[in-house]
Amino acid sequence: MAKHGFPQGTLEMMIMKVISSGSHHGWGIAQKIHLLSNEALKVEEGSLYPTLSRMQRQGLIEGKMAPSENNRQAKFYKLTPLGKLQLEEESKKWESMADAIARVMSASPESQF
Amino acid sequence: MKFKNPFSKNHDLDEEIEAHIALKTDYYLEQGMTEEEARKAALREFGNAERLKEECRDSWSMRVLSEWLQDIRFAWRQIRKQKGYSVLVAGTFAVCLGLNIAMFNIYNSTVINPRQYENENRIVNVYETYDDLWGDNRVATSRIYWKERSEQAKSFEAIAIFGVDWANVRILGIDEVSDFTGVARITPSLFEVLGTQPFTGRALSPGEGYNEALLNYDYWQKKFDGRSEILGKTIQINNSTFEIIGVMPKGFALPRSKLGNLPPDVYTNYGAMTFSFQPEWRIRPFGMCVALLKPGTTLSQAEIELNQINLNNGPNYPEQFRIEQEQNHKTVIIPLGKHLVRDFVYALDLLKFGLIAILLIGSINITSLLVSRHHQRSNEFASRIAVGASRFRIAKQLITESTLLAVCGVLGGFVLAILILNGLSAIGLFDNFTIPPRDQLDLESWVFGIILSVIIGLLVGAVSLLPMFRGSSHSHNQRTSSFGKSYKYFQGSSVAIQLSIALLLLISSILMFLSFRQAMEIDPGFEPDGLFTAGFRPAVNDDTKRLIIDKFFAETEKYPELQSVAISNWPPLKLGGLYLRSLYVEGDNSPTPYQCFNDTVSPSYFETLGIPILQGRTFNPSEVRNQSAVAIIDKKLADRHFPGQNPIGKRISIPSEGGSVSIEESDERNWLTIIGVTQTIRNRRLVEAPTHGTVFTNLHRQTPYWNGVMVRSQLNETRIAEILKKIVGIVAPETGLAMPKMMTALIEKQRAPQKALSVLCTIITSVSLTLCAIGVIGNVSYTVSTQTKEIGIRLTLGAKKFQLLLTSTKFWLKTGATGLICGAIAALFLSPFIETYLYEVEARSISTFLSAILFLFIIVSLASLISARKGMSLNPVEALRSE
Repeated sequence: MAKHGFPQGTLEMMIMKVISSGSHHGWGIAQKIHLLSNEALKVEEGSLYPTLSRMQRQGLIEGKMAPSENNRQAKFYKLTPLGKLQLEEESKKWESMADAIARVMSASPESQF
Repeated sequence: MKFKNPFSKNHDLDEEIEAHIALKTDYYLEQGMTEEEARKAALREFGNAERLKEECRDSWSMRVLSEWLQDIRFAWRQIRKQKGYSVLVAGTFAVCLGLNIAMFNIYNSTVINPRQYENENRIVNVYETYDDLWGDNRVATSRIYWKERSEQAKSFEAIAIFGVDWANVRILGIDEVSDFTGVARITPSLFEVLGTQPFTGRALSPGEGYNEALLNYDYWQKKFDGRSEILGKTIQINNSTFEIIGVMPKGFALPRSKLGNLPPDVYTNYGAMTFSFQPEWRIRPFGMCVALLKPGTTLSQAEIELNQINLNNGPNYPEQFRIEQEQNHKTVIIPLGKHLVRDFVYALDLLKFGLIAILLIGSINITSLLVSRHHQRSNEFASRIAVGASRFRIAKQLITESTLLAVCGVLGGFVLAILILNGLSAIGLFDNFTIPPRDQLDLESWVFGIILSVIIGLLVGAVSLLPMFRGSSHSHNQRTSSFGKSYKYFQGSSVAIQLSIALLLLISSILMFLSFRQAMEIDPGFEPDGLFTAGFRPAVNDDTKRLIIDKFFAETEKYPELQSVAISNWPPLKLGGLYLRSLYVEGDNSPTPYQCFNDTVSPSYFETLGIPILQGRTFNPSEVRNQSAVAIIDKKLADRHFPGQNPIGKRISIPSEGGSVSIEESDERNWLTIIGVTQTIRNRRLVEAPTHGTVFTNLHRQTPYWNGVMVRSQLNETRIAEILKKIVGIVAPETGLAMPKMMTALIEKQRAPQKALSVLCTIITSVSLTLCAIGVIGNVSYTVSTQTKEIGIRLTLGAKKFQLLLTSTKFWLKTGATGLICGAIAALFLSPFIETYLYEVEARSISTFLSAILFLFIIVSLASLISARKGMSLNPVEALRSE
């Protein structure tokens, strides 16, 4: 289970992906990443909130206080249009990067020179 | 980017964290933990909430703030490291700013916004100009003009006229003897024009014929200790009685120049004076006219309207209209503020000119000091850029440094401004200002100071950063070398500009000083030392007046310590009282009469004042007794009308002579035989050569309007005044002694504008010269110090020190010469303007130009020689190692 050290920019990308389907609060985002990764990834609160804060400042997401399922006031985040564009771009980059890394990692020893 | 209230952001973050922990607690509860365990687990996993909050805040704006704090701390360290440099920059800034703020305060509180009268922004002064009718280019308005304008002018809400005269004043039932004091005759509209309301009681009733009076606040306090039961009492002014209806507000002054004017103690309705609207009063000066412009009316619109009214009504007074046309009569309107400071207008104008120059020199100084400093640190900047610092970051740090220095300078500037204002006030520079400048900084001056400092700070900061952004950061050596070259030319041109401005100021200052010395040395034509002047005015007929005068002289005989005593219509230099009269010379058939001053004097007048009699003699006792038709003229009149001739025995006539004030011509001339010619004296203003000659007639033939008394004695002012009060008490008990003053004090007062001009000029020039010297020495020595490597190489290669000295100083001497030539050309170009501020001094005086140029050239030469010598004294190896 990876606790720390997501490659740079991936936490932001995952957050954007999670909230692209609907707004979520901080706990919800962390939980969803945890579940979607088959409990392989766990987002630390210490990374999550500063990242959310920074993304808000960059205009990628926006937050709004609203009552949560246990009736407490929590901040629900959703993507901004800029965030949507950024997510598309990041997804493409990630796919091509992952593909390239996968090809490198799956190459047979003979093909190496 | 939206900025949100940081407090609400903090609150949201707290709630968000609390919600997160609660949701996590719920999650663990669902997993089967007890409530306490679930909460503990949630908190433990969440970690340090405070640290998280800090990190979040960091991503808001706190980072920017902490960067600024870091920059400020860094800047403060740099400032403390370079104490001398920092003091110089902040000090220069403080001096420039302090002087400007102080002078703005003076200008604002006297001209722009004196806050003396309620309506002052719309109050104007109206006066008349004639080519050569009354011996002054600015003449008070006549009562007929005032009446016509009050009835016909549409540009004004109200027009008022006022005049002040001496009168015997006594409050019935309270005063046993009269005070001989100033009484103002005002139109009731003056209250409307000025927007003034009495301190207590009420204003004058509108219209004429009401015998009502208001007391001056200080007079009320002095005489009645501020008791209000004074209202309703009767006051006797000369032979008329008036009801006291109020007291004027504290500090109230009539809207006129204070210099040489009488401050009134009582204000009465002008209509209480017995005067007529006979035709001759159309062009006779009567009183100061002030008016309240209607909102939206411009000065020129109002001026055009008044001149049109003059033309429309002129034909009703054919004789006076002819004189108006001949004399090119014009009515002029100026804002009240300008009118009130007219005696000091040159000093105030000069302030503007001098302060711009100081601002320029100071700004150039600060810029070149900052540039030197940045240049000195160019290696540090290059290294930082090389390891990844952005130029923007470095520039931000430099701006923080300059801003911090500027803040110190601004604080210093405000303190200095307050000190200057108090200092100038303490030396009595403003004693003769009608409205003394506020010695506390007013709101406008604070705003002005802050705006000025921001503008200078931004300009200077921006200019000093420019060289930093030139060239590429990758080639440090190339960059520093091109920077060094451009830097040298930058310093060179700043020295040249500073020198030009300093030369201009120095030349102006020397001229002002010479002008002041001239004014100090003006020969008034008589001997002012030990001369006492005063006056009294018995309101009686001519025969009684003659008796009183005789009795007065008989009484003075009892005091041998009064060496010499004289009476005339008006003592010289007391301003006012002297008007021009028509003059006819026997045998000269010119159709238009000449103009001359006329004074009526006792035979002792010339001896008492020490006026030399150049030809002939003074009046003898029998001529006085018999009211003989004889006259004495001054040299100016003799030179004008009898050039190359002996005027003694010639005959002249003054139609108005004999007590009448009619200007009508008479066929039957009262010819006066000239019996003496005296030295010409300065009778009105010390710095104003008499525009016309004077005819002296004898006291018994033409009794004076009021008796100007002059006494020459070794006694002091108080003792002489005591004796004279006693004598006046005997000979004219219903009157009192007015304006007791030593002539030297009058002369001192007349020199006040020149003194103010000279003091301000000295301050401005000393400051600008000091700033300029600092700039020149700083620039030269710093540039030489940056050339140590070059000097080292040259010395190693065998160059002679003397040769290097010459090369090094040559650049600065050339630069200095260029600056001085530019300054001299500017001074020549501006000389007509400078000349308007000078008294009997030639603005293009070669000796002044040469001495100022020489003085500044010596400063440049010494600065460059000393700095270069210091550079040459280095050991070649040390010089090479220095970089």
